[in-house]
Amino acid sequence: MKIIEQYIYAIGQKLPIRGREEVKEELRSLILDEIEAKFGSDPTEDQVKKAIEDFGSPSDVARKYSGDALVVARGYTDIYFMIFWMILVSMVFAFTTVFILDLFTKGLGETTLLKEIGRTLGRIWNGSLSGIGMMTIVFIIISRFFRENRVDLEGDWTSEDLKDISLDEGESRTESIVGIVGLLILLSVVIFFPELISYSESSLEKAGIYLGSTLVMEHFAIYGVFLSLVWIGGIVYHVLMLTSLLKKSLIKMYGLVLDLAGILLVLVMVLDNRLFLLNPEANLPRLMGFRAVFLLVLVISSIEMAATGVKALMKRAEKK
Amino acid sequence: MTETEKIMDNLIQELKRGTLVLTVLLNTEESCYGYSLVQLLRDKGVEIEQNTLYPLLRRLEKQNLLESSWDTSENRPRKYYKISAAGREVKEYLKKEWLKNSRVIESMLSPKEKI
Repeated sequence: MKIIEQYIYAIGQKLPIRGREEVKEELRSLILDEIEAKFGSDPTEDQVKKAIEDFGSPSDVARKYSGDALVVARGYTDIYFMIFWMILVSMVFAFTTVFILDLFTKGLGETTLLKEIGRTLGRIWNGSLSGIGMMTIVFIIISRFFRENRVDLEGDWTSEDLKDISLDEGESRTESIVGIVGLLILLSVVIFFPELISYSESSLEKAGIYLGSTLVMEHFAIYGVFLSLVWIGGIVYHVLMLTSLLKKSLIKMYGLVLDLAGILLVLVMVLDNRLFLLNPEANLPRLMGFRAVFLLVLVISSIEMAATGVKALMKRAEKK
Repeated sequence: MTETEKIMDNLIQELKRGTLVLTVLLNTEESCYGYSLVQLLRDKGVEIEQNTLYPLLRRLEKQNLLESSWDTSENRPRKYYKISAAGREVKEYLKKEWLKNSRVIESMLSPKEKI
């Protein structure tokens, strides 16, 4: 009967391609069994319709056959949404900052202002879409190859899984070691190999990418001193964390001051026009170059610091 | 339906769902096809919707707890299911768990409530 085939077709459209034909074949046999058992071997069309309706809507039947097929596995949902919001907030923050900087440096007219607002919204939309899209693809791949039971600690865990959890919420040993190595590399570049910075800019030009602005190395050398001080402070912080020579609360306070100093320093660098030389041959916006890198560092550090602050406040509120 | 009735209905459904796999494994020693199993279970007092049972049979087959074969000798092909060796092992394990839980719950009931 045509209506049975239509019903099976409608279910089939909602089933995964793999195994679809077999499920359809089985459904056909099951539905015909039901109809025969209920209404005999020669049912009327109304009886067939009734049997089909009793069987359930195509979506409902397909859902039960497909199981709980999730694009992003449940174990990853929290982290997915956390990164989702981080991307969105970063994009809004970054492009709004660029807009504000342009507002003060370019002196936009009324028409240009509206155009720039539109462009900023477009950039936020495009940037978020690309970031979230890329992230979703990564999560789909992870969900596909690392099933939920491999993610969920509740399912299959041993007490060994707990040993890396730090109760005082300080950084782990690994984070501190990575932090020290990273800061040493940065220090070496700024103190011993500052030419690497200019080299990275010129190598981009060789590839046909002309940045909007380039770093004025003579001026950067002054900031290099302050940056080195902050980074040396950072190394001391990580060493203190590793050795626990001071009270954790004191080290945390020291870390907070250091973070704040770093943020202020980068903010001054971003706003200092003498630090950047506009590139006459630029084929990228004027912001693109080390200024954008510093801006990104500024955004990430500020978000991180704000998140730490909110977390501390919430913890205090919970205690009350 | 009141809110309490809805909650009770959900809890009963959940309770039934928990026993479904064992019910199916206990009733597939003989080969049976989907509709015949629905009927068999209904005759034994287990009310189960077809579109709950059929996907379950398929899932158990994927987990190698049931074996299946198509019978094409009649006018309409039918897929038959039968418990597998792995299915029997799981069935025994579930049966023991069921009896243990049943005894625990029974011990919590007052003498009047016991069956």
